[in-house]
Amino acid sequence: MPEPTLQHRFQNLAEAAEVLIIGMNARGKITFFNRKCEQVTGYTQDEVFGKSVFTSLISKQDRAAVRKRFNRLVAGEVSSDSSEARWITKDGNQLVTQWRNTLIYDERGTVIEIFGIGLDITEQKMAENKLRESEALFRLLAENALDSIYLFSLHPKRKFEYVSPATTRMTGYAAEEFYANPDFVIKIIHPDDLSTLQSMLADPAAFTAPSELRWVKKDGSVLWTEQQSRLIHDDDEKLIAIHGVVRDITGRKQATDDMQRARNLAEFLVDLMAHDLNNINQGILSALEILLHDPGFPEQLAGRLKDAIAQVERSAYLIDSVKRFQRIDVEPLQLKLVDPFAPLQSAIWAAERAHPAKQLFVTSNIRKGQYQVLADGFLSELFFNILHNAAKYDRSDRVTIDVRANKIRDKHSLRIQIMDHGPGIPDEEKERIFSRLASRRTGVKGSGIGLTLVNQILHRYGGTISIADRVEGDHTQGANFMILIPLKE
Amino acid sequence: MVSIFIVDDDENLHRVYRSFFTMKGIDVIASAFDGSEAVKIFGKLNPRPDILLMDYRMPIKDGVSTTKEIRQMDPASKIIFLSADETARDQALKAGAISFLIKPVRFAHLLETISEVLVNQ
Repeated sequence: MPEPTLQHRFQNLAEAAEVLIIGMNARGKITFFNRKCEQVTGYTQDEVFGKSVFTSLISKQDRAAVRKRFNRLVAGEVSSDSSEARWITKDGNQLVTQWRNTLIYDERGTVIEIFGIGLDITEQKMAENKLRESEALFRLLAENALDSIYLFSLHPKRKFEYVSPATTRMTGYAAEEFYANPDFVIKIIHPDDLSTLQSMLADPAAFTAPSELRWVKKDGSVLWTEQQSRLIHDDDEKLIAIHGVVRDITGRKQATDDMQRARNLAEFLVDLMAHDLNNINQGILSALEILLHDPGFPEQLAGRLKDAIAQVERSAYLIDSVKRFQRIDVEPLQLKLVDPFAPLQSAIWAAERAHPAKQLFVTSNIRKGQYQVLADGFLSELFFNILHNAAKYDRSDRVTIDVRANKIRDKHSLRIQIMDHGPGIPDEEKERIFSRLASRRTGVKGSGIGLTLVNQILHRYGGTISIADRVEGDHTQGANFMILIPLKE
Repeated sequence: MVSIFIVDDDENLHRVYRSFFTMKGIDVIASAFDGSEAVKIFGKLNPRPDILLMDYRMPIKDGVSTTKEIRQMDPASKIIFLSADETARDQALKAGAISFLIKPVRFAHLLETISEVLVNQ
């Protein structure tokens, strides 16, 4: 068997290669087209043989530039180096190819053939383009974000790789100051948060949890930030960088602090008022009682003294309500299953004590152990305020109040109706009587703070209250307070 | 005759309490206007009062600290708190007070409480 020629060996090798190999004469006519070229273009060697590589394969956009470069290469004006060209496949798709060319000369040194060895880098190019687009998008977002965005490299060198413009807006320091000094954050951290930041830097995993830090801005003021970061690892799981988002929460902190200060002040004032006024009330009450027990006090004026005592007790009740009202907002909500029977009985007892000059007749169909509602210790307060109000406004010495409860199944609630025989509530007052706080109306006479308190308590329970006439259409026959309290599911 | 020691920083309350107790035949044997004064006076009292009426918020020493010191001197002392600050209730009872009344309190209720304390002693 004759030994294969060198040309034969080359052809075999070129056919089997996993790279693109194309042969062209000095005018660019295709003389060789390996299997890989056939695979990626869809053309066979026979289809392209003898045709111009420029018109049959190179895309229109690249054609002139590739031809020019090809001619200069053939003329020996440039050496063979790497170049890229877009090819159009048989079915019209575009490929991005990368080439190195080898020139074959005859004995006279004239170029007779050019072999290009290339790679299909379409996927790589697409990935690069996507990355470039995504980087551009990230930069656009980062550059315009209100939050500060940073990338801090830990390896091989500790340094800020990126600091968004919001950082300068937030701190007053230029981004260059961060780039120039990897420990710049240590310089501007608030002294009270220095140890926190140092321990976070010592254990970067701590950056992944949301945290709050204080900084000293360039103008000396304090900046509160909330940050959350992510750790970046290399392929060997080595931690190489941290990137994160830092939000300015100074305004929110200020508002929270202001609110807390206002709450503290309100608590202090209520406490002061409650304590001192009740001491004063004690003095007045005791003095009035001494007069009442004095055998020399004219009997015909005893009624006025009793009125005065009732007013003192009313004042004490108001103070107590204000304190309870304040507690409702402060005390954490912990609803539990409550049998309304006991709170109602305790409220009836308290209402009787609050109105010693009247006889209270309260009928109820609520039996012990019959219902369980979701409530807390304020439930008795709720009942008391409605009963107390009913007794207060009923001018009769015999006050009759009917309490009726029934389950509202589709609402999973217990409806409790408390019906009195007092003067009733006109329609125009029915809505606004509970909304003293919401409407900021502070001068409403009559209902006192009690019903607003009732509304607040029910709001805690997810319940509601409304008022109807005890006798429909005639409000003068008394009111019907209808309460809905969520039942145990 | 029942004897009583009034401890309160309000001078006006001292006057009305004294008038009322005198009217009801109760002997006010001592008065103090702060906790520290109360401890000093109590140490010198012989015989000891049947009842101490104790305020909570007072200058120098509050009613709870005063109660602890008096109960140390005399564990049999009967202390009834009469305060406008109901948040002190648990502390007062823990310190050894027998009862805790919230101001303003009606005299009838106060007398009832005193009677119960004396009956149960």
